[in-house]
Amino acid sequence: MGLVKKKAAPEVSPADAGGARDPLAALEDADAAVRRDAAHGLGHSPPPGAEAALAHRLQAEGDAGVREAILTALARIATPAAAAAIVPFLDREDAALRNAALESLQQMPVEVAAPALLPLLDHADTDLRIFAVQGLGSLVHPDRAEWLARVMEHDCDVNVGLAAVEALAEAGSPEALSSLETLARRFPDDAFVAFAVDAARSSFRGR
Amino acid sequence: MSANDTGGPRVLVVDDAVTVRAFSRRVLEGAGFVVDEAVNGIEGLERAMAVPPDLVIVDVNMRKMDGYTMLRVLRRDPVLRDVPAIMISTEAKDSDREQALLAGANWYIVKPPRPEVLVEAARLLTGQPLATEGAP
Repeated sequence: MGLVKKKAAPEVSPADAGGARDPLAALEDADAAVRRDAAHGLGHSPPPGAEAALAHRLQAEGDAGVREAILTALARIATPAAAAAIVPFLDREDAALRNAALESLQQMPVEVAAPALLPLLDHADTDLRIFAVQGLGSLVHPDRAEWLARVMEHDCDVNVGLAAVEALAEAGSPEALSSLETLARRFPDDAFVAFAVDAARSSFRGR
Repeated sequence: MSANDTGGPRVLVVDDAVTVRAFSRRVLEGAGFVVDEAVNGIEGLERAMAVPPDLVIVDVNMRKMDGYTMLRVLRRDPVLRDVPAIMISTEAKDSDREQALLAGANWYIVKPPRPEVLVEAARLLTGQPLATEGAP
């Protein structure tokens, strides 16, 4: 047997050390770098229950980098359970967290994100309905214009309807023109509604 | 009050909704303000640092950086810390107003914005005469 040159021992960072551990346990490590790497790892190879563990950690997580890693991991896992785990964060007091949660949902495939967001259109909380409209409005789905039209025609809150107008104007959905007119008729005294509907109408005609 | 070369106070509108930015521009320019726009808190801070405004109007929910975070950063900046700020949001709860004031807002407007409210708040915070001043 010939001599084998001994390789230098690789440097081990705290995060690397955490990699040898159960990643679900590492999510609760005191070191933010270990938690961040654990979340990253779970996003790439999620064991059963990873979605719930990530969401549980996110509830208490104060480190911005770990939060981002968790939401990225959930977006990458992209199962219905991952989407469902993110939804409760849409109404958190922390604006940065709720906006990041919405972005994470929007990164998921439409067949996962849409079923998580659609029920929110009927939620009692106006802000959640607005998030649902913004989320659904950004998805590429054949029913997208129909979802938004329903909001403009029926939602009782003007800001939810306006969120739908904004989403339609951004992507262009001329088929929703009659719903735009309905919204304008439902809120006839609101100068902003009139402006938004006019702007959307013009953008459709310009396409 | 301060005014730029074109005469009116400069207002920076930071909102990810293009309709809100366009509406604010039309209303405020109609009242003599000069309007600049940004689509999120990061871009808003960049614009404010490049050309310090006389007033910022900031939405709450925006991607990349929300309005609260933007205002907190603004209030720590030695040049921009005293720039008056209006926070504008769909959220109408008392806790939302309190959170805005704690972040550094001087005024809070619930969406959709009414033109006369927007203009009067902007005039008040930039030291411009109010529409009602001088009325009999």
